[in-house]
Amino acid sequence: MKKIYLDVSMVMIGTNFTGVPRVVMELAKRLYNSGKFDINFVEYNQKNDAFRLLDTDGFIKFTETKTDKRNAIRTDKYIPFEEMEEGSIFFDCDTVWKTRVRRSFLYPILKKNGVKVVPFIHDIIGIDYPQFCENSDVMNFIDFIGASLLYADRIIVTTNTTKKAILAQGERMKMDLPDIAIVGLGGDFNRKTTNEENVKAKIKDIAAAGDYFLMVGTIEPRKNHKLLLETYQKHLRGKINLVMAGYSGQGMEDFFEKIANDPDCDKGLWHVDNASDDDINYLYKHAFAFVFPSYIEGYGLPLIEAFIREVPVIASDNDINREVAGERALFFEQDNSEDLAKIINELLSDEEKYKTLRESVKGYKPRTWDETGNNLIKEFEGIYGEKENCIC
Amino acid sequence: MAVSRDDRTVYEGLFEHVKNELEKNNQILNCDKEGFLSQLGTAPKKVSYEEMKDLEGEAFLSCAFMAFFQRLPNDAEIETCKDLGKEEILKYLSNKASFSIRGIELTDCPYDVKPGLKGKIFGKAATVASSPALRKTAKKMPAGIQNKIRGTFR
Repeated sequence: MKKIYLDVSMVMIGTNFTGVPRVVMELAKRLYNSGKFDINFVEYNQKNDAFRLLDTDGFIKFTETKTDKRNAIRTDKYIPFEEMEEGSIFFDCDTVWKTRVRRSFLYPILKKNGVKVVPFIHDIIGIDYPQFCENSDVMNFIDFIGASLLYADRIIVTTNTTKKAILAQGERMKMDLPDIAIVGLGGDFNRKTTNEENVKAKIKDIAAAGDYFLMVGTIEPRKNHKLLLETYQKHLRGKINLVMAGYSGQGMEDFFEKIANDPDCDKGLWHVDNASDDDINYLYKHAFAFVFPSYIEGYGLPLIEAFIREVPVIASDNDINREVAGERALFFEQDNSEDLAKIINELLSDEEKYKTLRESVKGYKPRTWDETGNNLIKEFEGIYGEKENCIC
Repeated sequence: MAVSRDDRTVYEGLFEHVKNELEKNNQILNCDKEGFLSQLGTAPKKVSYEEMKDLEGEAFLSCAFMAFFQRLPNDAEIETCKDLGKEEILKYLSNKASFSIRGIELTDCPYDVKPGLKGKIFGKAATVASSPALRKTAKKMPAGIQNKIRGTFR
């Protein structure tokens, strides 16, 4: 059976299983369940300075239970970097640039030993938008992306926007790149019925206070919450409320001060921290519209989450939002609060227009994780096919 | 293990691109290019002094921090190291908890650089504190306390 190694070092120490860890787990399950591959989950072990093999069934079970007790998954079998099996695939889809095994070190060894390298690049925000990232993270990300461009047999991305960004880097540096395949992410989130008993009283009060436009996501510079605040303060005060739900990220002290000093703070303008899933569902369900002013996204999952909940979406006009939202959303010029306010005002005053936007998201069906898994399996089969057909 | 000259060109191209993007946004990259390029290809535990021995000042510091810890020095660390020689810098770094936690072995080095006692103690503590259950608890603490804990084990 075809062997695939998957380094899950970051998932094995993780405490949060949304975002990339969720992608890793969903893909791991599909690859395993297909029965087509011999899947080997590994994590770096510092004591032995090698990959430790994890118990396959144990890891698959862990993707369901997400228990804190993970030692039972760890075996006492170790694979030195130089002894990964020739002809196998080393598949990276975790946040591997944060692990101790630099890919600038690992990938050349794998290639030398006939292992196929297949990195799953979620985005290249750290390269094209480093202003939104920590310097140290950017340095580690350059290591990963550089090694991927140099040593990958095939690169897998989630969007055409990311593919184009990688191709642009290749063109700029005049280098031949490996094949880049697009495997879009799944989004079959349960359309959770909100358990209203669990919704905090504050959340219900916010929803009852009047129409509001909503943003969900960590409050950080990249997400551009400041534009929402500016739009509210300059153009929409008294016409519609603004709710921003998300954890407080770093470098936003001035922003939170502006909210705290606003006369409408906690009256028409809210920042909701530590919201539960039920709280978030409730906020989506009652929102007039979901507004997404982000500068750049890896995949724009909040857009999909809004669509699943059939909430009208207004997004900043950039490649990734256009690609993910397509015809279902309205778009405003990036960083233009007047343009955003104009759209919201039109929706508030023009019932037909608002109804049309609402209709456009009715019955939205996201791609399922099974589809994502099948597409990924096809890519792996293609890679193995290339090898088997090789007459050299 | 140093990367080949051809590979280095690609990493350098990405570094320059990032640097330009930051400058366009009125930010600076707090990492010396030579220092960064010299640590590429470093193994997880065995770090060769050979790759950093010819570097000086900021380049040496960037290279050593990235090679050992995969991060850049913060302002306080830069200040501490600014008047130190290479041997003293290496000894300062070897006394950090992270040096012990990562089990770093500095090879090809003329100096006697071994993990310090403070680093060893915090290294042991970090092993206990790194369980997912304790990390989950720590993540519920206020950001200031979380940063203090992180700082202790860096």
